[in-house]
Amino acid sequence: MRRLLRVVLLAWVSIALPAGADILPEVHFLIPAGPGGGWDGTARGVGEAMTKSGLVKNVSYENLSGGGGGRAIAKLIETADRQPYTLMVNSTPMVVRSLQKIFPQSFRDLEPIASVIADYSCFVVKDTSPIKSWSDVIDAFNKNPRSVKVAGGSVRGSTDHIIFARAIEMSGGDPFKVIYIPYDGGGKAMAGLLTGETQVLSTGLSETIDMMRSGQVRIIAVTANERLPEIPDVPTLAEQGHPLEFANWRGFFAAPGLAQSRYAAMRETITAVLATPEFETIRARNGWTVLHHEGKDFYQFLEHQESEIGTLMRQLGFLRP
Amino acid sequence: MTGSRIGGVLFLVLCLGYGYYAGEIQLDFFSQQEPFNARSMPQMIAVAGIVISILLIVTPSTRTDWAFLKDLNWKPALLLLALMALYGAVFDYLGYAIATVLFLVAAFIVLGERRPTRMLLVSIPVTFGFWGLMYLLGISLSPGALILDFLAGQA
Amino acid sequence: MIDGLLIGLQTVFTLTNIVLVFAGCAIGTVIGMIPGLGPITAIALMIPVTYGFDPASGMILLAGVYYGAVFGGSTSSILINAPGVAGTVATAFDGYPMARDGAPGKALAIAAYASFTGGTLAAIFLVLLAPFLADLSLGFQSADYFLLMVLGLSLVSAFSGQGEYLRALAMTCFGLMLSTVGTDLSAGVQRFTFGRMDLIDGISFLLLAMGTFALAEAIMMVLDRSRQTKPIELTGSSLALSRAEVKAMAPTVGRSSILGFLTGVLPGAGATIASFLAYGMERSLASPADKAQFGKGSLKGLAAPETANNAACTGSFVPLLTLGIPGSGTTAVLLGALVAYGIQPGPRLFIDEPAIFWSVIVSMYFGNLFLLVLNLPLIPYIARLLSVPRQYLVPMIMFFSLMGVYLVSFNTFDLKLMVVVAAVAVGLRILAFPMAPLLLGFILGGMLEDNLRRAMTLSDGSWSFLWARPVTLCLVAIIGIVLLVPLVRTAVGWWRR
Repeated sequence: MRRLLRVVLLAWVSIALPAGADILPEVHFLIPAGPGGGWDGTARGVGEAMTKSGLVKNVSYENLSGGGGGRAIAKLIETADRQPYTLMVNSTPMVVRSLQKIFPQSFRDLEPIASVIADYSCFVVKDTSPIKSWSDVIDAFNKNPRSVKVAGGSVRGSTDHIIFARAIEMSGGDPFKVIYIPYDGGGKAMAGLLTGETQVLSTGLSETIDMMRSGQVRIIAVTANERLPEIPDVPTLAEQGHPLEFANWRGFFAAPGLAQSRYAAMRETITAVLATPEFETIRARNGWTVLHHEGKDFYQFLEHQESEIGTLMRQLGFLRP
Repeated sequence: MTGSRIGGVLFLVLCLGYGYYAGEIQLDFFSQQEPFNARSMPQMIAVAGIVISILLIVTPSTRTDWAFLKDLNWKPALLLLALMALYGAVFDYLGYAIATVLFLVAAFIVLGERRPTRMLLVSIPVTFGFWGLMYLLGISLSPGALILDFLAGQA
Repeated sequence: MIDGLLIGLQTVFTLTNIVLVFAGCAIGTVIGMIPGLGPITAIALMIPVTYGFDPASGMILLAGVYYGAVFGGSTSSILINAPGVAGTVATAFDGYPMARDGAPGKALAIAAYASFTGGTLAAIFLVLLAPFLADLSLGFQSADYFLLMVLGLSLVSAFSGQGEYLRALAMTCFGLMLSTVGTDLSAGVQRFTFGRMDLIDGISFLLLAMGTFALAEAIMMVLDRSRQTKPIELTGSSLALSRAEVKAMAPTVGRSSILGFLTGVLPGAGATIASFLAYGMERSLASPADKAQFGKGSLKGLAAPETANNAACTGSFVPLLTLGIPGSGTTAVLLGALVAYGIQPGPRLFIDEPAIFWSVIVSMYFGNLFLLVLNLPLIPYIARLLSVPRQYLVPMIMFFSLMGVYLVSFNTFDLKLMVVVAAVAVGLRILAFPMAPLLLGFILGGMLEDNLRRAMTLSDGSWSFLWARPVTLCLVAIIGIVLLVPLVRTAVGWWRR
């Protein structure tokens, strides 16, 4: 009876026994938000590539929102021994929120597996705007900071705000004088720019490319080191004299304390899926840019981003020193 | 006491507490210089709420006849509230399936159903039917710590 | 434009597309009926399926799913007082009492007719006015949104019956308070979370609506001995409406379509606000005899929000298609689908890809039409749900409501919070405090504060934004009229006496 029960239960929760190969036999995605958002899209996109390419047979998803992503992190740590195939998707806000102490954990309490895609930041103006380049922004800002109000899709002190303030600072302006107008989401921030109530928008590139192609807005600078192949006409901030590189990464984390071989298999699985033509189709469909760091490399990347954002947030008074 | 007055007194207490905590909201460097910051709106609401609750208390209102309270069927209603809270409390541990079947059966019993086969014939198809629908939609409902631990122990 | 419509008709009128719109409506209705799964989830789940089709067919399927899900949400609102989607909360105000008093079939039929008319009229407005409306949606700044929310709040008197004005105000205030719980949208500080991680994201509207309506009503069913034993008698089994009823509802549906559509066009408002505004407007405009019916199963009170939420769904396609701006969560998901098909919404869509533009619009007509065709014959069967014996119906309502909230957050804290909300709501109902104003305050509160703070920062801390632009000044004037008219009326009444 007990055995029968076990068989039934095994089938029901579909947990296969470890296979010991380099590629994971199954993947369980933990998504720290409800269905339909950016995290969800990334996990389901990568998962789709895994199943369609036949790389991984069994892929399941679990949505767990709350606490700005903190609940999913806490759950992954608490139930680590029950999460042998779990990959949690996360992104830059994780670094920001752990600096702000919204949740007590940071990426150090988890096992960073790999980053997969990146979204560069960009500064945008309306097509009719007199502002044509970053130096126009600086000129206007130095004359009167109140004449350059900047919209963003999240709260004050979020990356949209910090990156703009940092760019102002690098150009010799006073970052404290930046007037940042927060909106509830990138879409509404874009609407705010188009209604003319703000002059500049600081946001993610992926949300902007289509608006630029339809001719309603101009991107005056993107925070990459070199021009991006999809948009060769858009200047980088670096070539305008301010080498600021910033990418909002999305990547995967695993529970702490698992066997090293398991982590290696996870990294291997991600590397393999990124190379499939199925992933390429999904990447192109969503307009993603690949940013693949794995293991130690990813960890260092996170440390670097954390110290950079942390310094800025402290300077701007968003963190108590 | 009329219903309005009781409500007014409770609401006044709520508003005072709310107003107190509104003053405790942390303000960052930027907010302290702003004319309208994270505290402003809650404080405005608290003041409006206090005025409304005082009006509720002092203005004349129609007398309420409280006799109907005795006729209400309190016991099953309170039991059901407790059951729902319990469902929320054990959901993560027992998992969706066990918790739901138990909840439904217990609620049927509270409401006077006594035929066991019928209760199971309703609760089990509902539970697994819903689970199946969610499965088709790609939404996973937690199997629960109990079952996962059991499986981990066996494997 | 006629050419365009013909292109659209040609694209849509294939066997595959008709099958797709049918399938979309059916799937959408089923998903929408499950509390907690609304159009956003329904569309997000269906998008991968559509990648196999050409873009026009994909959009047609999704439009069907969208309308189906909104209609499905109304069904659970009306039958068990469990609004599965924020946009259908106002539907429960009069739809549920009508169903409870024995006419669930009729209530569902009215919802279907109202949705159909609202959606169809709005699609016509869309065709005729889309280019101008793009300008309208960009003419609305934060200050104007703030005033729109104030206008919504000034309708609170409409949400209360006779002699309960103060209690309604108190409940609105309570709703406003609850809307401030969680991370503040502007400065990012936490308010009233008491250090609990579960409250950081605030209280969800759905949780509040389910707790105060569905769960509290289920508990009330048990509390009231007379209702516990007596099953609902389905008196109004016929779906037909009398000529007088149609005549009474026609102006309501007309007004609500326009109001709903215009509200939907604004990227910062959406279907929920539209349905509340329409309900409030109808209740304020109604004659005293009609007014007494509101909240007790008024035909107008059901038709208004149902028309408005569907019209707003269609309206929200204006900023989506002509500007590429998603106004709501649903249109954001749809935007993702469009982009994935390789279509660029924006001012040029109309010129570059007329086939897509027009087929989306034509598919809206079809979505609405098929929804009506599909659902009318099913209504008698759906309505029979209410004849399930009480001892089974009540636990099922509880289960579906709890799951509905759980499926949004997957957090069991929400289940416990919902039970607390339900208990408080039962207490307040015993003290004769109305629930609808609580939801009104809650839904408007967040946006009210958000937009006010933006407007203040944009105008460098002065209230000058109130008269800086003609649109704002107009709204100020309308609010003035709404607030002053009842006062003047009372004063005139006193004078005559």
